[in-house]
Amino acid sequence: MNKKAKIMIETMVVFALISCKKDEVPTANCAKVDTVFFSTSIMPILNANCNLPGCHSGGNPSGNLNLEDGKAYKQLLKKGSGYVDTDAPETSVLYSSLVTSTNQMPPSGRLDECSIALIKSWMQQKAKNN
Amino acid sequence: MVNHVLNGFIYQKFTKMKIINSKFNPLILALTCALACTKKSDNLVPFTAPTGMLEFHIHTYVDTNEVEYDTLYAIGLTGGRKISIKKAQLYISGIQLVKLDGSIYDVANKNLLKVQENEDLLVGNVPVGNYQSVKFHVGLDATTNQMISATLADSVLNKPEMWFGSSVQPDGRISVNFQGNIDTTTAGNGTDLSPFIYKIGTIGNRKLVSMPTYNFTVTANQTQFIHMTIDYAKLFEGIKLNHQNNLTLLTAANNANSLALKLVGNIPKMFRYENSK
Repeated sequence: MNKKAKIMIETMVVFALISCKKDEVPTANCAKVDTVFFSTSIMPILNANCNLPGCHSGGNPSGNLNLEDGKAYKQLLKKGSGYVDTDAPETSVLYSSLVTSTNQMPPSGRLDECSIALIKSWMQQKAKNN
Repeated sequence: MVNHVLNGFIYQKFTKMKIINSKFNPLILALTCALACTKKSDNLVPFTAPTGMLEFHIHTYVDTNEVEYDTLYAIGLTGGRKISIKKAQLYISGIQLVKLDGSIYDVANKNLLKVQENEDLLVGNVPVGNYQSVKFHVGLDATTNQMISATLADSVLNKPEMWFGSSVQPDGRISVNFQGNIDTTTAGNGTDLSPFIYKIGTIGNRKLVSMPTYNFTVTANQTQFIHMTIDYAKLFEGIKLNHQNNLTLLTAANNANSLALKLVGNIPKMFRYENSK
């Protein structure tokens, strides 16, 4: 094999390896949070995006789910509701409603990835009322 | 493997013919990359349609009031009639998903028991895609309805409170079990409530519910919920509650009477999508 051919084969191998790199899911550049607190991490997200007039607040909240301060935790953790799933957060109603393409919540637009990640982490950390 | 063979073939062919020339480099590189980037799974793994998880999320209502689980209290129907609920549960089976092109995907062998205390009902993995609606039956198919519970792995079918008798056979399972107390005055302004028990069932009374259009998408490896409500107050439509005979439906044999037929006729009205009018 002459030198030119050898260089070309090596180049091909390098290109092939680079192009076959595994598809990667882009990860959001979120601040690392060891413990997710419901009161200081989750509730602000709910207040800004869900606990709004005509949505999940007031006497007739959407889906009969009231996410006002002081009510949200109890409503989300209601037995049998499926809103929160600490074993499989991805299958919970809460998480699903944030990432689905059908009637996504909030209706104004998808939450930023860091907020979604926080909510998922909170569930993974057993969804404490902390 | 196909890639390796082709790459080797290209190398041998080109070196043997001694035509390796810088003019050919871009072409060879592009061809090699294109071949190398073919996912191995495309060649080695048999094709299976991607699926996503589908679940029903169903609230139990009486008129505009959600009935909380394990709660017994009086609530006002439209017009002020009082009612309290002891039990409100039903079987859903024969689920069909209507695709956007109108074709049907049958969800095989899935029986759901909707009870007050559980809103989350797993339908299962279904093909990804766009759908326009859902259909299902209230009640079980003839074979399942008669199956003896001891032979069933499906625990939702092993519920004695959903049998007409002390065992499944001979009368089968109840489709809708609705019990409570209700004001039976004609004006609907009484305070003394009378008990009612509706055990709706039999194969002949298995009722198809065709939900209206609701476009939804099932995405691979995600869970999609269909949010619905069941309004048990709809069962009373057209029923004269001041007739004592209209307050009790207990046996499979009675499920052929006029009260049963009215109740069954009201079943499709009970279902609606959440937040729809």
